[in-house]
Amino acid sequence: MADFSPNNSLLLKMPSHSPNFSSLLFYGQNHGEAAPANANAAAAMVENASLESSSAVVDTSPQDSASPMERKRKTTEDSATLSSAQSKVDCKQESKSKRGKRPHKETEEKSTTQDEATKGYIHVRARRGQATDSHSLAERVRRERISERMRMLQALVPGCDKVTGKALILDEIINYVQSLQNQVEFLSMRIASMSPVLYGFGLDSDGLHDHAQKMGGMFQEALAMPGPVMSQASPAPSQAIMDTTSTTPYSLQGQGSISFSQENGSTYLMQQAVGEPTRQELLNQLVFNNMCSFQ
Amino acid sequence: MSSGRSSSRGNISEDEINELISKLQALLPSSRRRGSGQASTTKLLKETCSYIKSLHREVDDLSDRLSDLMSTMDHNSPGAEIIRSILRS
Repeated sequence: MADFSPNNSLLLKMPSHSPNFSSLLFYGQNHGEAAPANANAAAAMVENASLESSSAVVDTSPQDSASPMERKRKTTEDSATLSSAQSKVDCKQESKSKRGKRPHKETEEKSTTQDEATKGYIHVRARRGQATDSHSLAERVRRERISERMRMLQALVPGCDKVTGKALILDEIINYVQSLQNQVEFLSMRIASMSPVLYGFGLDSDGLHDHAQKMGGMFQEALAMPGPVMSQASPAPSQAIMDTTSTTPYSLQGQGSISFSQENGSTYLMQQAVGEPTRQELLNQLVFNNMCSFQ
Repeated sequence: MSSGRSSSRGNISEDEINELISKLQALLPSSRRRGSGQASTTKLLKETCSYIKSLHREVDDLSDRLSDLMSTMDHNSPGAEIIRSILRS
């Protein structure tokens, strides 16, 4: 890798970062520091270049109007220092290649590198992310991945983008998932109830009509149910269900309460799905639960 | 659902976040079938993402089925009449 040909060779070695290389040369040129300093700068700059996919470092620091490409062609003395820095750079590159893109650090890096250019070309890496060992690097990558997933989830869950903070977002997501599950359960119960209603329960006409009235409440809920529901159910409604069991006209009442306790979770959850249902509707749900359990 | 997730000092502790994560894990169906020893957050979040999408699809599907059922019912059956009366009221 110690190629002492003019600057194009450096470009070839790192094709995706050619502008950054030109910036390296630019720095070396402008400040005309001692060769070791240049080498350090080159090493630092190259490492930065390898980390950032953009060439932001390049364009912000021109003190001349000449384009970086021109500067690159002009310099020849820097090629030696840069190539000597190459070997250093390469081994460091491997450790950093895990990092990936860092858009946030860009602005930081810009200012730091500009400062460093005038000073000593060192400490850029330390400024960047306090991560100098592989553990922190891996940790950083993992954290980035997690936050990326969180952002995806934020986009999925309505109303989540106004919330900030990991815990709040997680809370919202949990609520949303629960309400979605309840919605699914609710809908499937209704669909299951459609067929028995069509084919009859075997009750007499009065009982069927009576039962249908109760089912009607449920259907009204189904029709009136809006889109995704994000209700915050309190334990109180479950008490309402407990109270309504006593008013069930069916003889299933005794078993009804038992089945209710068995399906406590689902019924309670169903309440959540519809927000604040009336007691009559809760009764309907309960009755339906009873009926379903006996089919 | 209690709202007291954040501690009073305004700082959200790691434990609370982990608790939330385990709650989320409990909700996911994939966590129920096998021993849920795996708690890798990244995988969890990705599964949550796909789960939410599948729930969306399921809700849409069920709603469509329900509306189809209601519209294609036999108009003379007692069930249809019941439904009609409900829709009228």
